[in-house]
Amino acid sequence: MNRSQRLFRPLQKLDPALLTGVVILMGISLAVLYSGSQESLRVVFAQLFHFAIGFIVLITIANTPPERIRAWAPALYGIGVILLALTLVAGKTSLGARRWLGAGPITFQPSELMKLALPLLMAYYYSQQENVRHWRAAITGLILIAIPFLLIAKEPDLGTAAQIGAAGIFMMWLAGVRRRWFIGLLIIVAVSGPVMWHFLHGYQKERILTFLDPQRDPLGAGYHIIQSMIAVGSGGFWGKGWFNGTQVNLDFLPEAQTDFVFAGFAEEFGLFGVLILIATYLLIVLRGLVIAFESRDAFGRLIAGTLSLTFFLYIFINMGMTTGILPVVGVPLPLISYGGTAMLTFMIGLGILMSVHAHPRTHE
Amino acid sequence: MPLSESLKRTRSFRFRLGVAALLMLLAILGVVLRVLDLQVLHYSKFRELAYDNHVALVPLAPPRGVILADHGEVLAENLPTYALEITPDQVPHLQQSLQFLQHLLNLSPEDLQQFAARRAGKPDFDPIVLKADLNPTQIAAVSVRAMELPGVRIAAMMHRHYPYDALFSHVVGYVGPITAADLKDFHASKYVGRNYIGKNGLERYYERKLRGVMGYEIKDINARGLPVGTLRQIAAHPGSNLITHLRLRVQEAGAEALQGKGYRGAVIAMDPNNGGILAMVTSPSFNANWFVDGISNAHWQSLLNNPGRPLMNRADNGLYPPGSCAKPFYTIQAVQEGVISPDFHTYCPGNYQLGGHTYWDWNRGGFGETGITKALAWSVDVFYYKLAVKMGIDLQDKTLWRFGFGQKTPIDLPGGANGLVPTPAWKRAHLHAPWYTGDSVILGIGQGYLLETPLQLVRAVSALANGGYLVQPQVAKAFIDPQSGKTIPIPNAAPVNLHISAEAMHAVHLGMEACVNTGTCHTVSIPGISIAGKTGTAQVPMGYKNGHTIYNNDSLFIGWAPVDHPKIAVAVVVENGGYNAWQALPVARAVIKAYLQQDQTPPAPAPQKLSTKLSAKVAQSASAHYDAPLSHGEKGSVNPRPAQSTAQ
Repeated sequence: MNRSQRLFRPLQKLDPALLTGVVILMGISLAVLYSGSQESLRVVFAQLFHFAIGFIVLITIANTPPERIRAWAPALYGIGVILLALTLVAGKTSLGARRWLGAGPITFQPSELMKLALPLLMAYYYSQQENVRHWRAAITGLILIAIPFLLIAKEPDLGTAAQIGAAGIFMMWLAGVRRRWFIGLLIIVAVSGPVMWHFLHGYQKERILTFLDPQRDPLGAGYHIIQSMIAVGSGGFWGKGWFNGTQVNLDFLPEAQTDFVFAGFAEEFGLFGVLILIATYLLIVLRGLVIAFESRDAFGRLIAGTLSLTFFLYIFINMGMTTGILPVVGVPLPLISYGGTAMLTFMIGLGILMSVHAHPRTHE
Repeated sequence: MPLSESLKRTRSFRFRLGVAALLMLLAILGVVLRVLDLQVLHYSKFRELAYDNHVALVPLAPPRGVILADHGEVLAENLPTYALEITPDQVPHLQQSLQFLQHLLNLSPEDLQQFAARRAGKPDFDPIVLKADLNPTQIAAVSVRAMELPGVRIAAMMHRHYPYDALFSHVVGYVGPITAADLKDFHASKYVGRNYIGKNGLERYYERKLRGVMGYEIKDINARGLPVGTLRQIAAHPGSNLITHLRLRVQEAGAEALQGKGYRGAVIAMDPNNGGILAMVTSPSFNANWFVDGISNAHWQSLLNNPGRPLMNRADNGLYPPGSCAKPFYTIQAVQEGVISPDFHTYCPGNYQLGGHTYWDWNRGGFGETGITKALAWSVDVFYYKLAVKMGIDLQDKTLWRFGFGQKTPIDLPGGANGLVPTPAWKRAHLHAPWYTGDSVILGIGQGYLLETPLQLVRAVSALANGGYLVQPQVAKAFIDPQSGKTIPIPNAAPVNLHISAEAMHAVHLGMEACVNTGTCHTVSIPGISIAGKTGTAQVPMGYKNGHTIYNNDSLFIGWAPVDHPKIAVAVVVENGGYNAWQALPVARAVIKAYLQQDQTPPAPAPQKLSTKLSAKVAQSASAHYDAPLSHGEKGSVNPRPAQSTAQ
């Protein structure tokens, strides 16, 4: 094996389909951020740096066999829970919520770690469970979910808590927990909804009311969603063109580079661009589901399936909220929104998918 | 784990994965449909919303057209004034800045209250006027501290000004702040960004031409309302300048004769050949400048409480019985219709008996044998009592209508009264009484129910002057395009030929000339100028005292000069408390004299004060126009016939 072969061997573990999707998304991300930031190269290079770090991590994870990843699961989960608890006690308060843990310039959201740690630990648990149809399997899963869910909900960050909870439920579903548990959960959620209303914080109630009727406070709570819908709708079929989005370039669209980046993209590139974006996402998600489908390793297919569905969930929630069919929750558009933390999480997830695909049937 | 169990699990996993994938595809289909709904089905709505978000229309107001007298004197102009404007969101500490400015400029608490009122409901990025009409000291005080006063600026504005104050108020009119009532007549969209609208007179009638065409700057604004660029600019088109037939010296002479003596009344001087209004004076008058920025309460009360009702344009809205001024018109009709021949004679014993009632002549001693010339020269009432009975009410009414009485006189001024020509039907409807011959007798000397306006009188007498053509009075002469300097004449309406026979006309001319030369209006005569005229004294019942009716006598005069080549027709009404009223005569004399003897030479160059106020272009076009009438040969000749291209 010569030097160059050694150098390129790690790249062989990369899945071409997933990689293509990520590269297309990276191109879209850089294009949208360049326009939305008044053509700031600083923003573009910063995001490029995020992608670079992400790729390094992705390649590293892809080259790590699933059993090694599986072995980390209990520790990751434990650290995650400790950090979440620490955040509640000593976290940084921002916008009325303690979500950040920091030392000096480095700040970190422990909930971000939990997005991976919980599915990993649950896949770890269910992959070695002899009888998943037993009630103990279901209860254990629910407890594993409940610990981080409650800690994050307490911050308060109900949106993230719900996303993490959803990932856990996906995992239980794919693992084969009996259907009656899901029906029961559905009933509990439906019944407890009105009761939960009283436990919601003011801003949370506001968000839901605003979602139901954005015009009730068009310059306040409804402003985001109204401006976002205007941006999307005014894009039309072909879009206004790169740099020509008035909503995004004249600052009418809030959070145009982070949570509402989809609206800016839809404004400049229209339905045509949106369909290309969705197709790219479907390429990634469906490829992930195929990897899960083909995997014969219990841990591998569970984690691959759950991560793919969770990845899709983020896309759906983000697009749903920017187009006004879901309430506004702070969810970035995967691999497009500006930011390093979420990017890292998604890249690790994709790395795990590639690892599952590149290391078939090593376990069991 | 047994193999079969493993297979079972794999099958279950794959099934559940498939279910999840199906739900996922349904969800993404929902998103696609939603985006389709926004971007395709509701595209135009959102495109419009986005456009409204980022595009701001900034109106650019054009300068209003100036109004000029025939010789180029400026009757209405625009003066630059300076106002202090504050843009609230650019001022870091608004209250402190206001206090500072209050101290600096010595502002009153009302100024600050008005500022708060103007600011109410406006976005903070709109500049709001704090103090209008800054004096040079105030401008200097603000300018030197400009650096300390962010968001505060001095804005130049155009202020409408009437240099002759009260002289032309009723004919030129005035502008004022735009009210909701104004916007019923004029489209509100044309007044965005404007301060003024014509309220009265020429300013109102020619509002659409004077105001010009609004320009717009279409600006790109960001979410904070700050302009980030200009998308398009549509230049404003300045309003047309308006040159009128009005003659400053004639107007001044009329005003001096009326207002100078404290009379209430009106005088109109008109070119009988084309209807051009040379002067239109109403007394008392008011200062048009009071109204420009909204009239103060003190001024308004002073106008309302003035018993002379200065706001009323008596020339076109004042209603008076014409008295003996109606006699020439009856004479024309009677001769033309063959009721009497031109050499008809009748005896005047000083009174006339009809149905047991005695109608007295103004000269109870009687005039003896009287023909048409004498009847007009001395205004012999008995002659016209008899003529009235001969004519009958139908022919009397026909006469009056024919000369334009009883209907609003068409003129380029808003308002105007109809007057009243009484008919048997009218009397039945309004007084529930039949028409008596006695009513006709009184009507025969222009009294009774008959009411006219001075404008109707001047138009009617012009038809006598010009050989039988009813002209349409018109104040404006031409527009001057402010950009090209081109003069665009405003054509006078074609005169209506009344087809008056030469013998009838001749008979009346003789009588009216004799009236000035030897008769009741001799005081009008001016050596060297032939004048035809007729006096009128109208008795207006004012109430009862000790069982007798108290009359108020209005003094009237109609006439023209020169007799054979008329250049000016005049109608004067002076409201008067006395008997044998003659006050109208000196007024008519002053006006005729001013026009024929003083106004024929061009005036001295306009005072420097005025010409600097005009923009260079306006001054240029005004003087260009001012040369025009001279080329028609008016210069120097004593009694030239004016251009009368449109008269016949």
